[in-house]
Amino acid sequence: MYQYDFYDQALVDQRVRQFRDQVERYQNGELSEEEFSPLRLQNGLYLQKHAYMLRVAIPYGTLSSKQLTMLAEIAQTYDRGYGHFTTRQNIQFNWIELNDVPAILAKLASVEMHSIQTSGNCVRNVTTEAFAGVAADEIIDPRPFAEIIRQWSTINPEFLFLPRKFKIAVSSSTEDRAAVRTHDIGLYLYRDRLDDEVKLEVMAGGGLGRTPIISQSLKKGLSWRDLLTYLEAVLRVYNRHGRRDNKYKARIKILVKSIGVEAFSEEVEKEWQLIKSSPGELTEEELNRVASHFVNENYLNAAYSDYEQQLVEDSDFANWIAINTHEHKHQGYLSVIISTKPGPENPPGDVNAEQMRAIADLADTYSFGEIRVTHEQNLVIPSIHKKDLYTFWNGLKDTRMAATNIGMLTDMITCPGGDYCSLANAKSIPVAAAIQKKFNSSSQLQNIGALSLNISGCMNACAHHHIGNIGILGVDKNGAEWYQITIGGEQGIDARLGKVIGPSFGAQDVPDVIDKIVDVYLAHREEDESFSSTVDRIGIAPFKEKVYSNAVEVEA
Amino acid sequence: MKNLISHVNSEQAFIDHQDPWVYIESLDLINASHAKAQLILPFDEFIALDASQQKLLDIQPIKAFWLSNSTDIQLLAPFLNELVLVCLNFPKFTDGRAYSQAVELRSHLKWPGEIRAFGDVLRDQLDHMHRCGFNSFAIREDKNVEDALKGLSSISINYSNSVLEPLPLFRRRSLYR
Repeated sequence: MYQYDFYDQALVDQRVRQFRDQVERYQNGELSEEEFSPLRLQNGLYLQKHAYMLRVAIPYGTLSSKQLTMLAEIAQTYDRGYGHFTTRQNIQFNWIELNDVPAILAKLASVEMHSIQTSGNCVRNVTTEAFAGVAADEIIDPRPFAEIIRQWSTINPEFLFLPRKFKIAVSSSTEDRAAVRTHDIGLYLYRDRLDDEVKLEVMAGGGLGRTPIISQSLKKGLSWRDLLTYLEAVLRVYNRHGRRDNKYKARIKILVKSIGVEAFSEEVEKEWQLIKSSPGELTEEELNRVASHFVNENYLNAAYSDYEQQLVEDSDFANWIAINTHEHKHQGYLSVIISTKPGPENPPGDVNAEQMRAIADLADTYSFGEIRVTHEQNLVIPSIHKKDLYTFWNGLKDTRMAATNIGMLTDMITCPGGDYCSLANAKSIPVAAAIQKKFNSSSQLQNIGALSLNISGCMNACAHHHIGNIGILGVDKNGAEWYQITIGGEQGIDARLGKVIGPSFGAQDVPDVIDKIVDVYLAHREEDESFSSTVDRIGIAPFKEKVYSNAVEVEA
Repeated sequence: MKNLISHVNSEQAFIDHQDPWVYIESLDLINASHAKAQLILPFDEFIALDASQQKLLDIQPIKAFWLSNSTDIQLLAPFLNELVLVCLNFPKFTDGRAYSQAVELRSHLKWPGEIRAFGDVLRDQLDHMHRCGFNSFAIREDKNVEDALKGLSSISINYSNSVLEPLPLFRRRSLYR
């Protein structure tokens, strides 16, 4: 993975000193709350319901074992012993004292980490897919490009006070596992068949929240050399023309929608022509420098006959392999997904310090000391040789992290919701727990198969409920918490938004409603048909009928 | 203007107690007392006038304009030869449009004169403004200008290309390795 040089390290060290000074000036009254708030947000520090929350950047979801161990130390020393992995591949600490933040940032800097721009109206942490660099279906490793964008966007002076936040995702596989099309800018990397050059398709104007929109193609055939100058042009046009009168209309998606993607792209093109041949053009030398950090030449070509035997003898292991691993590009290896959703007692995405240390140790012992965070809030060990998988799995079981449910209904994406978040309209975690209680039989889950369920506590949609096969949205009606349900959403290359099935439900009814929706799916699906294909084929009427037929209490 | 940090040329910035420029919020406010003063005129109002009205103003030559942050900076092009000062506004420090205006004025219009930030101009944003091409700063008047001066030396590393350092760090990295 990428390693800091003198400049990268100097920047994060200086940033810690700068923020220490800003905290002091806030505490002695030189900075007002209004002046301090954007400064702390650009360092990932939110003021939540009960305490400050610190969101630490995990650039494109990649962590070293040393970094994960440091996160464990921070969780234990400054928080309540756990952290929460988010859908933007970051980690949040929920119980932070303002006084401790400079010391926490210094600890992060000591392991080449920071919390810069994990919030604020600026370019946020760039994301990609968790299997980057190892996936069997990968075309081009997106990580060097993600790192180049990370550097370019970090404290880029022109773009720190944009109309609204700005999220960029990069992907390059036959599927899109990075939710590219729900980002402000999404980048698909591909190899041009004619000249064999690495090119980009730039997608613009995606996003969820109050106005969910799937992005549109802005530019095809962009050379990788033009990546940064093109982004600069997009950001400048957005900075100039994005709305600032209403924060709910300020994202780039609203601008693109209001003037149309053609007009927006012309405006960008005009700006880009002025700067495309500037020194901002990427160089081969820089791409090679960054890419060299991501080369792994230590793969083994070892035998793994024991593994085949273990699969036959231990059906739990075989099951876990079938569900919790992903195809690796190198013969003899698999990527392993560690579920952070073992059951109702554990809020989705939460991992405690002891587990973080255990995972870091396992990554050192059985892999290359690297861990990834998925946007589904799980952790990935990217490369484990098949000969080691059985011992690895047993190690995971010891830390209660061997839940076999990746991609299944109980592997739900859940935001922190009303238990923590000051924006939330309703709680998410207890609803997730109640659903997990209802669906606690593994044979039942296996029969249902792949099904994504996403729960957001408000329309800001941190849990991407619009693109869950089943989406649950917490809404506030006269001070009471209600839940609106959508079905048929889908992430990936053919991303689409789910449809609302009808009036909202009270929290106590949600598990039964989900159960009924699943029943309708099971009754109608043909062979291996996916949930959203079934919804497409039969429409939402049969679901509606079943869910609302008996007298469940719904909002008036 | 008061509370001014002036002539920031790479290293040298100073607190300027002698700034001669007088900010004119609206053309209607020009009066006899301004006869010999150096005025910063409102560009948006000025270009809304026709040529004969502009002549009637009897301010020749015009040396300084201020712009609102929603004004297209390209409209300044015909005037730039005569100008020595352009003031760009930050109505709130969280409204970052003037950063891009300054970049366009420097990079696209190649204007070498003084670009001054005014409005909600605070210590913690000075460094960003400086990198985008601003070289003087009218600090918000309730703030301590000596203190604000420290904002120009916050973080020394900048990855991206900027007006101040047109070469992005990736083109300079190998030079110092």
